[in-house]
Amino acid sequence: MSQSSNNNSQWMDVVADKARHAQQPVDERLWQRIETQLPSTHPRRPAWLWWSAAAAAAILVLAIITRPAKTDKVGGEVTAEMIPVTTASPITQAANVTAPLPSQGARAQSPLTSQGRGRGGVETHTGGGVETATPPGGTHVTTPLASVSEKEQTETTLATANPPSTTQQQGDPLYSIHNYQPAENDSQFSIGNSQFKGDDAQFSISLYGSGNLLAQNSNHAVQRPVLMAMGNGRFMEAQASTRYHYKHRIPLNVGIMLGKSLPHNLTVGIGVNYARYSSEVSADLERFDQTVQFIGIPVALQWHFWHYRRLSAYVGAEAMAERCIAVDRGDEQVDVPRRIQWSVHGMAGLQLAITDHLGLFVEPKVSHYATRFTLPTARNEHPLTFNLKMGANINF
Amino acid sequence: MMAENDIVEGCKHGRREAQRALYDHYAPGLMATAMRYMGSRDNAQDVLQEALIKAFQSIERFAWQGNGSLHAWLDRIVINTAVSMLRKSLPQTAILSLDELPDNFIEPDSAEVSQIDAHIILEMVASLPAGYRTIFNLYCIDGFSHRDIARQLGISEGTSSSQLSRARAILARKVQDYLKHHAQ
Repeated sequence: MSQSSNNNSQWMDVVADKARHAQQPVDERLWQRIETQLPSTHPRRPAWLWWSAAAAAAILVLAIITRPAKTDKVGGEVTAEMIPVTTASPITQAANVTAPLPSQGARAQSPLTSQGRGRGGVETHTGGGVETATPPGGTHVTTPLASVSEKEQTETTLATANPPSTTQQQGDPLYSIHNYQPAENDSQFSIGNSQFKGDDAQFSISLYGSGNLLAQNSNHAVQRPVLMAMGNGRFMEAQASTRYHYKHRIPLNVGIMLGKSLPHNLTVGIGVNYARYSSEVSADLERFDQTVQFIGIPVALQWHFWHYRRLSAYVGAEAMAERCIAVDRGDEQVDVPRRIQWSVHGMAGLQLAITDHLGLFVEPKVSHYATRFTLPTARNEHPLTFNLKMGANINF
Repeated sequence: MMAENDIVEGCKHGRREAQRALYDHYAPGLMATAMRYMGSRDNAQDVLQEALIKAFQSIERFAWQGNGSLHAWLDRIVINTAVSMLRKSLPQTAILSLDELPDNFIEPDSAEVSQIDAHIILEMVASLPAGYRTIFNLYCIDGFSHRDIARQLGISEGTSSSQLSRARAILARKVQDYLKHHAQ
């Protein structure tokens, strides 16, 4: 035995060597826990696919909600479309045949035939004195059902009238379009006869999403000593800088804007924008995700300069004030920058009217971020970024 | 047994059998590393689990440099993970009064120490107080400098040096006690 010193002595080398090469049994369940957290070997669908599907579903729902009725009106007259019996959809025909028979004397309309009334005027009547007449130029079909008594036969009347020339006044008892009350301001009838109603709308709400299609990579050095791994399992200190490599994912922007129409085809809008910048960060041994989130208030001015049928084109400018709301950077604690981030944007867009209340737009956009902070994100790589913005307009 | 290079390539392609081979081959050694840092088996398993998941996720960036480099890389991830976890609790546990310990202590004989089983040594290291244990592991076993320890743990180099002296004193006493009770 000897007196100690500050340097490693022989006994310490023995302890270190034994400790370094020691082994410990591992619980078998540990692998099971690790395995559940490992990514599946099956390739994952890219995130944009899910976003696209969600956007498509949202647009479909909006289109259905704002879809016009199928009965058209011109100048307060009812115009029924010509649908010959022989071309009626199998669903409609099947519905007529298989619809439950109401009691004698009652009159029933199945949901399907009711829905189809506007388009084809299809109605189902039971017998018992209900008379239907064949309209001029139309077809009247009576379908007796073998399983019912002679008085309980079902008649399927397909009231088809010749278009505009054979329009009928509302309330004519000879026609199977009953109780129709034409509304003077019924906006459903503007489609096809006029321009997109959104052109005349006072207000609009835009729901949009946009992304920078050019994901960038970058390297940033951080002055921090790292320990270099050596082949024999020991480590030697090396004075070097940790170089972080950033692989920026496509930034996500979603938002909502409220717009108001102004004279001279101008529209001014204000909204709320959420931006999410995600990057994969890697150093020599570390790898983590960085996510920076912003909430912003955009103010925009647009000029619709061109209209053709359902299409319109516009140019515009936008200014936005944003504030960072969250920074997630692996295990590192990063202070959320408090400065307001200012940016200006210029855009040119094309809008397609799907219905009189719903339009879709696509908008290439160039953005300049005036104030930036040091945390590398996709927006920081270049002063100018190009984005593609897509969304839906709801006009009212 | 898969070759180390095959394990690396298999893991880079996400093959489950390669990941399992890595686990089977290296987990016991990594578990010992985690044990001597964390002190308890439960905490060590948590560290090992997190470290191996990190390793599998970032193995695409690992450049194989011959046999032993994979183990060194994995060992470093375990150490980083353990230190990161300890850093959160160290301020509360690092400062322990050991004034009763003399600065100079009797060192054990290296020949006698070499007779002690590795798992006994590991238990002795693991039983050190958390702050001393961390510095002892970083400096004496894993080759870190006091400057780097100070940076990693947010302490001064002087604190790192003094705590190491006390860690060695405690360990020396444990070794001597063991040898005294197990002397043949």
